Amino acid sequence: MMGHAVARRCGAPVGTCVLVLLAIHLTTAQGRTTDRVTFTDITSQTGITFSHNFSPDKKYILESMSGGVAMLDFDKDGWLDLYFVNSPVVATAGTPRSARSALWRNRGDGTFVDVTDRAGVGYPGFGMGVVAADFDNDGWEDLYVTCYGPNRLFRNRGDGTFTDVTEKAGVGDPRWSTGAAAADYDGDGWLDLFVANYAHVRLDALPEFGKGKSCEYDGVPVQCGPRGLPGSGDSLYRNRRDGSFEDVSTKAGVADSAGRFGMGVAWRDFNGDGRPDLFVANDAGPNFLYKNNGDGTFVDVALQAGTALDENGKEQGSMGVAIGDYNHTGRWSILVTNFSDEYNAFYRHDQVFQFTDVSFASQTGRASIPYVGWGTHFLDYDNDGWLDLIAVNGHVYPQVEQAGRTTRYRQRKLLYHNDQNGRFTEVAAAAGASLMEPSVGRGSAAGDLDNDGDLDVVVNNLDGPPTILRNDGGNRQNFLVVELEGRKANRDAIGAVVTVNAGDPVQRAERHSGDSYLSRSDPRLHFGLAKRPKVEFLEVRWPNGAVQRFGQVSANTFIRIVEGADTPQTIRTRISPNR
Amino acid sequence: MVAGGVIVGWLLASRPASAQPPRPQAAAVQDLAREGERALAEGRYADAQKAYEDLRKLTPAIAEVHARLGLIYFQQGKFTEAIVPLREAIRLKPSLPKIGALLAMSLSELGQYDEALPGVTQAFSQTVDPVLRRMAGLHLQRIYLGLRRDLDAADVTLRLSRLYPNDPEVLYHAGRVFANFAYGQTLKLATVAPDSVWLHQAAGEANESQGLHDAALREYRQILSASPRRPGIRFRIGRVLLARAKAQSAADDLMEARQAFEEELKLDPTNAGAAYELAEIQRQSGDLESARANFVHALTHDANFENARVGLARTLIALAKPAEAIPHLQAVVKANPDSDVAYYQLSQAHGMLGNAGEQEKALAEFNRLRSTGRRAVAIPELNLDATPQAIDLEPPK
Repeated sequence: MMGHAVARRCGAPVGTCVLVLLAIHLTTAQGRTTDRVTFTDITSQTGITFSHNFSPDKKYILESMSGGVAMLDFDKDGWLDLYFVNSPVVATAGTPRSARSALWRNRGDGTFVDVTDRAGVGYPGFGMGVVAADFDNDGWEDLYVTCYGPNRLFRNRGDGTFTDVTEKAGVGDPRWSTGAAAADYDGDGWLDLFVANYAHVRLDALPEFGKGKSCEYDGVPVQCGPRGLPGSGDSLYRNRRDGSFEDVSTKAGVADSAGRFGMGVAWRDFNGDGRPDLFVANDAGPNFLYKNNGDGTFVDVALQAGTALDENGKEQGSMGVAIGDYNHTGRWSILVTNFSDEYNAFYRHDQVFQFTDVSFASQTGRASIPYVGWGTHFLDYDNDGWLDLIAVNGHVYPQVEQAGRTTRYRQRKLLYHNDQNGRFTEVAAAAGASLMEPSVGRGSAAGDLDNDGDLDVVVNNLDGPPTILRNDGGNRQNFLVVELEGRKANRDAIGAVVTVNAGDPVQRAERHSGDSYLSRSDPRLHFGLAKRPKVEFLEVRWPNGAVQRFGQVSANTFIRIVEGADTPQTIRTRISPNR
Repeated sequence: MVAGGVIVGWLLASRPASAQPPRPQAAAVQDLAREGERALAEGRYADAQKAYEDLRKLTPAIAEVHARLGLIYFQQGKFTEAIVPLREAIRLKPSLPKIGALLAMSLSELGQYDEALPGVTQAFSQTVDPVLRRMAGLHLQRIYLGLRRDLDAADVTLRLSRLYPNDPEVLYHAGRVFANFAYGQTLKLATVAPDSVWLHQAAGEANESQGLHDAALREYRQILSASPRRPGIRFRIGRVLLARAKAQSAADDLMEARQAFEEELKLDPTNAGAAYELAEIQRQSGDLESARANFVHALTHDANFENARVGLARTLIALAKPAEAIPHLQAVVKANPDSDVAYYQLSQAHGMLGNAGEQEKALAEFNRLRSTGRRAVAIPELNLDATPQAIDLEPPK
């Protein structure tokens, strides 16, 4: 929950802050008549005026795929800021300043201020997606923006400004890039970067709207592609630790020489060997699941693992990816959002690199069939200790409504509550009108924007302003938020796995950067604790394999764990209103 | 005209090489024969025709020359002209091979079905030449239709379909024949029993096949008004509601479809299709134990129900019982080696059991089917429509 009028950014001692926050919660709680968790669209209250450019007809596929959103604390003030990626339309693509991406600084009082110009991150190009990570291990998160055309790496100088270091870094992939994610795949303590690429198109030779076999939808002329367009390979950049990167895509075996249409990407250590593996959602083609061999190379095991295709053995139009241990088995399962008339594929991780498609068994598949899915997250929105799911939707063809079907261009979101038995219930309608409000959603990020102990959601909509969804009531149950800082490991501690034992069930989360659809979520790890007052023990397995175990940690706290330090630091505490 | 571009090939065997013209004309005959053959080989039919017409004047008693000329006329679609030399060839030399068939097919092309029938029948039933047999079969089909002998036409169509299962022309004509047949029978039904449940069922199915859901439901419900306990109708209603639910994302239709299948099963527990559809709804709703029971129910009453067996196997896999799924999937791929869905599920089941070798084998078959495009085509079984286990919608993007 965020944004109440009396809330102020707290520069006072922690005790004072606690009292102020307690007052806010007591005030708010009086007005509540239900325990239901809702999401409220507070965009207009935040002061965020960003609006994604759009062309009404979407005559070209280039105009349908942007854009991502990042949650990052670029100024290290303890509040998550927001970076929205923008793109021009084809008609204005030749004008470099026709599309302004935007960095909004979180004031901590529920409002944001546009700091784009000062930061110098407004014009990356024909923007698509974004990932934030501390590539130079200086303690400040940098921004990498994927584009149609050269991508951009903006180095965070730590003073509120960024410098474009793309050229020196050598990460300006000139193709049409989409998803990007950071991980230390070779274990040297420095973050590397994977970039997915989509299709090869030229602005001066774009396929003509509605002309051709792959330019129709149910008999209605629409934009062409991606079928019928040549796909693009992907890139893996190894961090040389001197501000530059080496393109190791081919050597590592992840270059995608066949040219599939890469979209959302995410790193996770699927087999627990301490080396991050990589999932790539491909549009209109089999997905990749690259197993890290530990020698600088990868092998695609998606087909054998059961994550390449749907349950019929058919490729899907995959967009976004969410990864989480939703059933407390200690294994990461995968949710992939897909095109309409398909279903969002839910791959349950049963054994190491062996997944079962439980889309229908989990009761998440059927509800997703009418929608084109993009951003998605496993998130424990009600803090009951079980990961729920959200999927952001929106069609690609404005003309879809002429096709005589019930499918709409603007679409609502899907929110699934984890029933704690392997199944989910779709509850968006009961979680407030904001989730049911149709929009053309694309990238999304989940995180605790107002530091109140529950997870909010931000959506970058293609056709206009974003949607900031405040979680109201999630913090009626307890929580723990864990921030990690690497020392021997990369500074972001990406790849570290935190295990929290607050009684049954044991929860796990892996620090990562880059997932959903072309987006980056809260870098802190959020654990719902239901009614439990404390965590019995907490364990961190750092990326280099070292394990640290900590004793009891009180619920409703935000803690920071620095690699090698004896105890976690409490950053802030929060008393839930039900206590 | 039945396509005859390849007919030259099977007649070239009967070249007029044995013709022995009188000495004085020998050189001219040789020249004309050579020119005629060259023109024929090059597809210059007008030139070939001219050469052989001249040759016929010089050698009127040589059967092969008449036969050749008849062929040239036939190739050009000049069936009236073809008949005279072909008849003359047969008169001069009744043993001349294939000429009787060519004459019969020329008569068929001219609509002289009664006269054509014996020769075409003989060609279709006795020849071993697949090209000639195919052409004769297509003509025979046409002749029977022309003579309004629909049942004979249907019989020939089925035989042709078995002999040439992937021949586009044969497939086209088969579709046409049976569509005409169905149309004729339905018209007759409307005449002899205009208020019958059978006519409502036919109308319902016709509407259903065209995606006219509301109209189909009206017809089926009229049947139930007249005959409330009639088996099979609730199943059909359920199928229409399923289709409408898919097209319109209507949850109410899905619930109603489920109810229709349950009612059908109460009325007729042997309806494997209803059990299957109910199981599929339950599987897709995550009610796996109920789905398993109904897939088993379907297979109890129809052991060869491939989709039900795949559905059962898939349910067992989702229930983390891959070992139980494998025999079902093996049975499916044995019966239908083109079932890519079954091979894919088989690979998943073996993978779950750690049978890497078997998984690779199943994946190899799956990939073979994918790469060759020989994926199982969902053709509704003749007496049992069912939601296929493969989703055939191509993402339009």
